[in-house]
Amino acid sequence: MRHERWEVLLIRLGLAWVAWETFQGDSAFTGQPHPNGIAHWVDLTFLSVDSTEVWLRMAAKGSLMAFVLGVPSALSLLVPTFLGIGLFTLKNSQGAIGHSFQVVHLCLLAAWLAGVWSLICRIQKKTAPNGFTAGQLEIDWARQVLAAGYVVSAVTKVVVSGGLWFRDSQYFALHIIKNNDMMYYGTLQEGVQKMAWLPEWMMQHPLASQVFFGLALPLELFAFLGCRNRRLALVLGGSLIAFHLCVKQLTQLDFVYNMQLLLVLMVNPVWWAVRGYSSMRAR
Amino acid sequence: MRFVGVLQWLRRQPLKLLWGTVLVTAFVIPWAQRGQAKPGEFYPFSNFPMYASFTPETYYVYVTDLNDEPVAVTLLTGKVLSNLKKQYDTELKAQKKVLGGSLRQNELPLEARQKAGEVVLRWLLPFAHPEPLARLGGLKLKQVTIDYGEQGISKTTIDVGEVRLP
Repeated sequence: MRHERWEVLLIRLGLAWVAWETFQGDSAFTGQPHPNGIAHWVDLTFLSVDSTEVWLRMAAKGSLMAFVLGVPSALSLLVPTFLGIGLFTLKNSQGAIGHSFQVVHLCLLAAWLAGVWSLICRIQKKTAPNGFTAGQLEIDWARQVLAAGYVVSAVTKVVVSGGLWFRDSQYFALHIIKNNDMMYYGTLQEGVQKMAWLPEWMMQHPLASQVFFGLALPLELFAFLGCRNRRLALVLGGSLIAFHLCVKQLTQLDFVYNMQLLLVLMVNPVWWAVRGYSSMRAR
Repeated sequence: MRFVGVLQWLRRQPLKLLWGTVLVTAFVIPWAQRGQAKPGEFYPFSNFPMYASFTPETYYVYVTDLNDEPVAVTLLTGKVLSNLKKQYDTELKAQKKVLGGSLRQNELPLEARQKAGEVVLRWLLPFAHPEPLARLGGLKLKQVTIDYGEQGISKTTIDVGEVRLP
């Protein structure tokens, strides 16, 4: 996919919008008792010291604004990428691993690497891969790692379940009960429990639930097709957003950043709206 | 020559970054971390192991006061129960390692679970608002096992930890 200049600007804005959220708030970690990632070798607790953290978060937000304004990503994504990875590595080193933010920082890392690679190509007086501009390459690489996350998730399902994910998916019903109960016990508010009838129904109709949940596996496995052209990106991106919305309804697990990135990097609604408008005017 | 041919073939493939990321994240990192509690997790890389396999049994945890009345732990500490469950799971893995042998996690004895539960509660206490916590006098952790058998879906609750304030 070769994006036009105005699209690159909009997609950069979209990426910055998603990443911005990850620099809100404040962390309060004084140790890393269960090191994850680079925390095995580096003590990252300095990132959680208020006097350091405040300035680094501001620098990251300023850098994201510079990224939107067109400053080369090799420079403008340096702080947001590595601060994001550092802060969330520290968060994931507390003993509980969350999976909400990986996709954001993986996309930032890919975009930053694309910026660095474009710079190397320019210094060596070579063209970038596929003749892309730096902006086009950033988006292409970010989209590739976004799709890769889904393919990895599907591969893990096949490997860990020994190929039996489809057969066993009826037991997903137990996880719906688990998540509903945890939501209730977290706040003790009755209204948070959703679809209490569903788990028992799923166990009584295993084939129906196997077919419904089984669809998730090929959808994730073939997510890579979303990098081939705009139509497939629209279909795969839209389907994966629908999949996340279903999961949210059933399990109360909200992958909001995945959905935002799918919207920005795959569905790309503004391009389709512009194209639709142009087609109508041409008639 | 064959190696050079493979390299040339690889160079011609589209989506090299995508497949490279899949290879590293789904296979290389989990293999390199195979001895660790969470193989495959190397931020920002993850092999997304959640819901990768299903069994007829799962569990969750919740928090009560010392009289077994549930406590709205998210309002008390700002922590969600899925976070607590992951912490507890990590501590169970540590207990499993200590005990050694071929025990599966769901076969761990109650004493080991209580040790894990107490570690989780002690980790949780500093996040709690001091006044309501003082009124409670301490916290208990409950484990609820949900399983599916001939009788349908059933739940079993056990105490897996208790801490009292000094």
